[in-house]
Amino acid sequence: MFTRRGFIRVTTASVGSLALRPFGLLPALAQNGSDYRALVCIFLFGGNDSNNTIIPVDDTNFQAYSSLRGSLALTASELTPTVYDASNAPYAFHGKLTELAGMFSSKELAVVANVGSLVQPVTRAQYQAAQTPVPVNLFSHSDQQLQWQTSVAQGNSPTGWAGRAADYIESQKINASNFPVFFSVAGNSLLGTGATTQPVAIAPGGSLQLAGFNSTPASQARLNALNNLLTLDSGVKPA
Amino acid sequence: MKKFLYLILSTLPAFGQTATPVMTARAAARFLDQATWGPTPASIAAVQQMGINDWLAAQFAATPSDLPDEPILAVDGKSNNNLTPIVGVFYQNTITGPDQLRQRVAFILSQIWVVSQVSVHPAYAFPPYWRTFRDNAFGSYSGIIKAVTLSPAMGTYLNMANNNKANPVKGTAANENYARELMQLFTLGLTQLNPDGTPVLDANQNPVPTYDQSVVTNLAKVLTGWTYPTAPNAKAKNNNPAYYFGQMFAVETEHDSTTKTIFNNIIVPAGQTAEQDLDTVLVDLMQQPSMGPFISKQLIQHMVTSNPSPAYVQRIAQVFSSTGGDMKAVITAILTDTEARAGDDPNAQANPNFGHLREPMVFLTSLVRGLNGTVTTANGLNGYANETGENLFNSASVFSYFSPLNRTEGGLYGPEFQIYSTQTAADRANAISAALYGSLDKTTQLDLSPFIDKAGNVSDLADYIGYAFLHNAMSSDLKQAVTDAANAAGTAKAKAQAALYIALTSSEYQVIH
Repeated sequence: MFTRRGFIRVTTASVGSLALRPFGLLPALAQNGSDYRALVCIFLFGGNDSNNTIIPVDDTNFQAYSSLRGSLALTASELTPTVYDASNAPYAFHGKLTELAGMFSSKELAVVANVGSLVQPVTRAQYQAAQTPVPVNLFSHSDQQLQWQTSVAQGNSPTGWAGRAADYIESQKINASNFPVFFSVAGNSLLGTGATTQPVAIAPGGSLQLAGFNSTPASQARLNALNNLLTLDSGVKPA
Repeated sequence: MKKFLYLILSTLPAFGQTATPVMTARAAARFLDQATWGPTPASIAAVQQMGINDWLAAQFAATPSDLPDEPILAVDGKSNNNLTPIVGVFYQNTITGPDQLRQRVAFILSQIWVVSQVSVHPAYAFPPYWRTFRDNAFGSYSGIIKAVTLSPAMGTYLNMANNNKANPVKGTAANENYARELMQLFTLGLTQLNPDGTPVLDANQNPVPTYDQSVVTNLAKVLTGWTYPTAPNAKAKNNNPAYYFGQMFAVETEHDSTTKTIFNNIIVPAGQTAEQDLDTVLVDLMQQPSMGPFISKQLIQHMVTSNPSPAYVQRIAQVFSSTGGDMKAVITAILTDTEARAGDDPNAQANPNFGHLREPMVFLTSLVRGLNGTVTTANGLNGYANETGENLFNSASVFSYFSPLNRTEGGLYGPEFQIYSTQTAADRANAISAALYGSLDKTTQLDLSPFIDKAGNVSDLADYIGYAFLHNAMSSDLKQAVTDAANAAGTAKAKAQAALYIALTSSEYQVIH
């Protein structure tokens, strides 16, 4: 007995959405929409050494930095020229990050430092005494990558914070365009997975166009057959 | 007398016929989707005749395929990082190699024990690393652990090579990468498991961790003191430069021989050599109750179903632990289990959540095999796999192409769905289009003639596609769609192409049931 529940619905969530959505709108939205706002997230999966990204360069803090990082510390010659934060404290970026330093100076870039996943505030003494909840699987890279995306440190979450935001935006009908609330140019991500919305993932340079179709009756019949199956499988009717 | 002779003859197979099948085509094709790189009409017939046990015995005895060793240096004298010749042979082996089960199991093992060219660049590192899994696919899991632990490719990938004991003067400590992943990904997992694979919970219903940070630190010390094999004509050093033929060897002066407390509060005594420490850990690892369910469940997920019942996991874990991780016994148990075989019966009540998404490489090889394909070593099949998230020997990280813990809607596990996106769904459909209406690459030859031959009767055509690709069990909805598409097409070839396109892009085919 073959059944259309379970995984069948999951496969068609992806294929179905590609057949139904007007992705051609993307360039138009980006170029013309004066009211188009986007939050762009770049996630390096822990690949950035944040302690060598922006460094305090006042004498006291730079000495502390140098002694703590040891052989990994950057020397003054490996840093950008000094930049100043809002309270006029001196910092420098890694020498390869000159563009970021320039944007920081012109107040186009803000750094939110010392951020990490937590269940609740915890001191060093509390951590060592193991009396306070800490993020699950704290030193497991894969778990910590997921927690950054879910914003749930005390266990597993099937949704990401951006996906939950997309659920809300869809439910409130705030998104006037046909363009999906969340889309990824780097494959599927838990970040964009909602409870009621799915991330749309596109590849830079990739095409979501189905190849091999034309306007002949035979070709259209084949496309109809494909869409009929997708509708049956997903329960979603083509727009 | 004459009548008697006739009766004797009639019990023998008629000329050109074969013996009575012991399995249905449906059962044989389902089994082959679980055990190989995709069913073919010939392999379906073979399994029907042999039955599962004889087929498995033949596969255990089949001559292993190989990958070609590559030169260390390119013609320009720099490192040869070109994997293309190896990858081409890999795919050719999957399409036409006789050792289907061994190759499939070896590939699954390589997805658990990841080494990626993202950080191990020389091409010549990969055939020896691959042979580790090929040669141990029907061996013991403890043999796999030791062989990979001493493999120079893994030595580079997770810093096991030249992992010296702590040096207080330099302020260095043992590198923890391999120690951590050996436990987290390769043997035990993060959470202690019951025999059925469910997590062990504490009094507050929280999962009990398998180890803590101190165990990682101590296991890292246990694993210190190994360096790369010495290259021919080179002088052995305490920290040899990377060399990928052969096994790593111990340098006792770089080994931390203090006492260490590892998982389950096991004490590795002071004063042992590097190899004695490693063998101690191997014995202790194999006795941890989590390993059987942890590894068994992943093997089931790769071969049979993403969401096995706890009872299924427990049956396989029991075989794993009672045989000391005998891979032949474990694979046989997975493939012959009642849960794996339940769907062989067309009248059985189907579990809607049974099965798993065809991962990109298996999707491609199944497509080519089902379309009677022949490939050369210059095939470009990996280009399609790369586009859809599975670039052979190039996983993005140690967490492989997809995680066994990836979930889909409704909380179901769906590892392969991690790389099934809007984009890759379109790419997969377009690969099918290329195969049917154009060509997959310059050398891969597909033969649609068995399908074209049936196209005079669209119902027969649909049934034959069902036989070749869908375990002889195409749903009535799919048959209707296939029929609609084929009826609108003109020539017999166009009918076959249209019908195959609808069947192969269908969710019914993409998900192996």
